[in-house]
Amino acid sequence: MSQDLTDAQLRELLPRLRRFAYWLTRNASAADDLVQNTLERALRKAHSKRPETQWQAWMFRILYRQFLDSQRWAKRYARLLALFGEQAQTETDNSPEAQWMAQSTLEAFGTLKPEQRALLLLVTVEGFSYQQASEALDIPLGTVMSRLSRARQALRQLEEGSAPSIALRKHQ
Amino acid sequence: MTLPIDDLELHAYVDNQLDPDSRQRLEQVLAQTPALAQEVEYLRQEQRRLRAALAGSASPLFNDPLEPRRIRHALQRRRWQRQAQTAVLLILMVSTVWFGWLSPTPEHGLPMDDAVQAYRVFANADTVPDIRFQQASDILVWLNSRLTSPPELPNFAAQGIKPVLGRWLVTEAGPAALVLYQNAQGQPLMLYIRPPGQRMKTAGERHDGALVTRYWPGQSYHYALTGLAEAWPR
Repeated sequence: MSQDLTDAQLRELLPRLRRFAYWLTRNASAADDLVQNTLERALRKAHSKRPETQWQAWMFRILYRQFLDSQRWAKRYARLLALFGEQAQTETDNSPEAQWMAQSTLEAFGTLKPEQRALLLLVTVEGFSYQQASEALDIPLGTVMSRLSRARQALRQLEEGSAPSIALRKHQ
Repeated sequence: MTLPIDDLELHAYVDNQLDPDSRQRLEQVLAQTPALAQEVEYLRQEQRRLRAALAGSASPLFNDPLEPRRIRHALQRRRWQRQAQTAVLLILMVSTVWFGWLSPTPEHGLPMDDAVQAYRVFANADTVPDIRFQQASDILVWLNSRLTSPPELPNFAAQGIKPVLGRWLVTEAGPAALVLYQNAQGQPLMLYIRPPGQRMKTAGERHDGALVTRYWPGQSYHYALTGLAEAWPR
């Protein structure tokens, strides 16, 4: 086990990773599993992290990749079951926390696409720079910018049903 | 009037991600365009709203604090447990094989159960061990001739995947069927249907070289579908 990733660093990162995981999965127990798997992987692979990559971007990146993998598998399984005329059981979260999030901003945020939620969380809440977000989500810088703009537009549509009132030059 | 600023620049400005020159240029336009200033204010408010809503969201969701030392210990413990389980499994396997040789009757199952099952399947004059399917409906008639419950068959028709051959096999728990499908490119996909003798609680996937196998427990049978990754229905 690597000692490079200190308890203090983990203590600072864990609640943030949990929050990120929750808003990706929207299910508290799935989020906890995701964080546990992320930690296990991070502690096992700590020696392979490049020195120039920051711990936080590296950990968020591991978590996001694990989330994408689990989503890919869930989709494939659902497709397979669909061939057999069955429906995959989706974990619906009826817990108090699910009811608690029924506030308009959170509700609207929860209905965004997972990749949009991931990016908004990193940039708006976690304070990642565009460059750090690009590393954590493994997408080009240009995609970070265009995805962020689309995510905010989608959020605005959901919350207010309105588009920006000014005419901006379209990005080329 | 369209402003000489695009939406990405505006978001980058709100997120403090613009370089000093671009920032200065945008602020000049901003000073002369109240509508743009209003839009920036909206984006900032939205940012604050989202931050306030999401930043506090971790605490009500999770009651138990995550203590890194506890997690490290748990990981270490799990590693030991896994090693111990592997050791126990190894001992069990070795002793099973050892006692299997020594004891005349094993505790579970009967010797050569599959032979008895083979008799049940093949000693029947009506059993067609191998069949070439002429049409998709042949497959159910053939399977129902031996299986006691109707199997849940995939509906591959929409993907242009057709059943071609069927073959009966035998397991210690009863008859198993192999159904060979072919896709529009002639690539094979093999469906294996067997009685649930072996334990399988959840569905899964495994890769053996280029082969992909997905398996899952059904109502009455266990299923596995095997084929090259590119032959799988999209």
